[in-house]
Amino acid sequence: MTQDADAYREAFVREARENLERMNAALLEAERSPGSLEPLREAIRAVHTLKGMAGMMRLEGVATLCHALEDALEAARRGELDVAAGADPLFEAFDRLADAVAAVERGAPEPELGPAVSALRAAVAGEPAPAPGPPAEQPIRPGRLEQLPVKVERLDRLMNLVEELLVAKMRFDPLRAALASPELSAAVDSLGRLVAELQYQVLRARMVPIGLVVGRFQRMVRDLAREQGKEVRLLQEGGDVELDRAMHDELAEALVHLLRNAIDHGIEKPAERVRRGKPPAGTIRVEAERSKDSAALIISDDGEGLDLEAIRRAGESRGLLQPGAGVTEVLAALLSGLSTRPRATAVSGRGLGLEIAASRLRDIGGSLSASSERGKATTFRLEVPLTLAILRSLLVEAGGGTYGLPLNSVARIVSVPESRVRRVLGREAVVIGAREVPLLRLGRLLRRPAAGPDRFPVVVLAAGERRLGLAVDALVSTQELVLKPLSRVLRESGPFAGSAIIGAGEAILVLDVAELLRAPGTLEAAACP
Amino acid sequence: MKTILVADDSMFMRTVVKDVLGGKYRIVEADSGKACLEQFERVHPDLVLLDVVMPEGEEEGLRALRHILESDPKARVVMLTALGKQETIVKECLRLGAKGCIVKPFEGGQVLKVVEECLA
Repeated sequence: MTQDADAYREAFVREARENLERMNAALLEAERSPGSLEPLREAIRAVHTLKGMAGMMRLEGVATLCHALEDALEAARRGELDVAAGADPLFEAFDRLADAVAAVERGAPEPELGPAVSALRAAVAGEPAPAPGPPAEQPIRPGRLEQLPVKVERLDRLMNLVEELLVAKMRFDPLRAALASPELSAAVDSLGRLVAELQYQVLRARMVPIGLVVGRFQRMVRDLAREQGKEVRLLQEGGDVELDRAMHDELAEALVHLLRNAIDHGIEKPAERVRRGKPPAGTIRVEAERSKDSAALIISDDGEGLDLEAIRRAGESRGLLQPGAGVTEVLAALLSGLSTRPRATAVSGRGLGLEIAASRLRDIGGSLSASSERGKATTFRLEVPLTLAILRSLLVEAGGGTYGLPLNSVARIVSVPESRVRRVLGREAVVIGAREVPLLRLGRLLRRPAAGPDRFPVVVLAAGERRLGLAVDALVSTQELVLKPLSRVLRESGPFAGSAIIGAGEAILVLDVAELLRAPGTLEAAACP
Repeated sequence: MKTILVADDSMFMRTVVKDVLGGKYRIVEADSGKACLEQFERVHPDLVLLDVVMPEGEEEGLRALRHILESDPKARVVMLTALGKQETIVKECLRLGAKGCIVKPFEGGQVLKVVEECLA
């Protein structure tokens, strides 16, 4: 075993994880149904396989711990160990094995598993557990631990508590205004600063580098490419950009679709590439960028590019595109699920993947855009806010209610007299700057129209090149909102991204700007029969 | 070039074996006892390296061994098994007609030596 240590390591890590999953599932089953032998046999087989692999990798500790586990599971199978009552030491040992596999993946040396072996043997023999040592995989510096492994679940709980605290604190704001007491004011201010700092620190603790997301796909890219007889390299830049961990799962889903698309529709087969003067192996590049409050992933491939003409033809024939539509509209049609493929492949279906990816991203306040150069490259740009939880928002009033608008989509706010509103083909627009911007009256959209004054504020919303003027009755304030997801019913009832609690505990709806920008004409038409 | 059928449910293990033997032998792979039998009938390999414990348990490898030898009593099969209960298993395999047993973890040279001896 001298060749290509990295290839071995990758195969080992993947299979070791599969076996750990089997072990966990089987032991859970054994715990639930005492007396049933098959789950125990299944666990033994998985442990046995892992032991063999560990031996080949010269992971002595892992092999020894697996051996101890085999003994324990065999004892359980013979009825000498009651798994229903005492599975914890076994699960503990599984977790130590998982730590060791993670260390192998990082290229770190095998952690010390001696204590885990003794603990397991002692537990099986019915002895009290020895005092727990320090977590095995952490390098110990004299006197202090630099890092602690923390369960994500605990961080989530902490984050929820901070959100509750933030809401509780907001309830003091109207009290302070009503009571006008300097002491109360000072106390609320210092509480506010502390809560804000706490919130920031908890958010930071939840941040994880984007590289971890991308790293998970090396394997998938390789396997998919191989299935299709293609050669693909996945490169990554800027992997240390950090994101809230809740964002990770969302990103991972969108990435699956985009990577599959790149392999399926983008990268050509080696022979074809050579004919086009390209290297036989295609490259997919994932770059991460970060700005003040958003992060972007740029996924580009050096494949055959998008066939804009074919997309245009398909769009026109299905009535999704007007004849003569510009490149932007054509790409938008692609992102809303239009496909030119006559036949779906097993890999990425028929363009629906893109639509799902785009709509998931919109749900979390992100966006997806595309560009392409025929024959050379396709690039998708995927933008997400750094965190799902906190949204700096503009509060507005319309039709007697208060609504939130994410501040990062507000381009400007202008006051517009009714006389400057133009009406073209049943739609309204105003000229702001040198540009005609479609106008949407929020009160009317929400079916709560009010006879407005002859001058009203217009909030100009922007995303990419798109602009929309949102006419409201009044501006209230700007505030940090803690965004909570909506029930399905509410979500489908209008262009809402979520709800939030303000001031005295009043719940408001936060508008989904991407949805508003997508088709203002249609939305409004639907809203006023 | 002689053909070796490597039957092991672990891709990791197959990769290791392939690295050691590839170049000198044509390698055909199978990831279960059933696939092993199918490949055996299809390619008639000169030698089979067969893992004892596969997803359906110890019996899976032993069952495959029995079927292979029923189909071709002169078939050359070497078993692969992880350290542990090997003594009983080795005896059982040899009793059934396996030519040898390699215990995991093994060195590349060890596999090569056993394979060469078996094919000599």
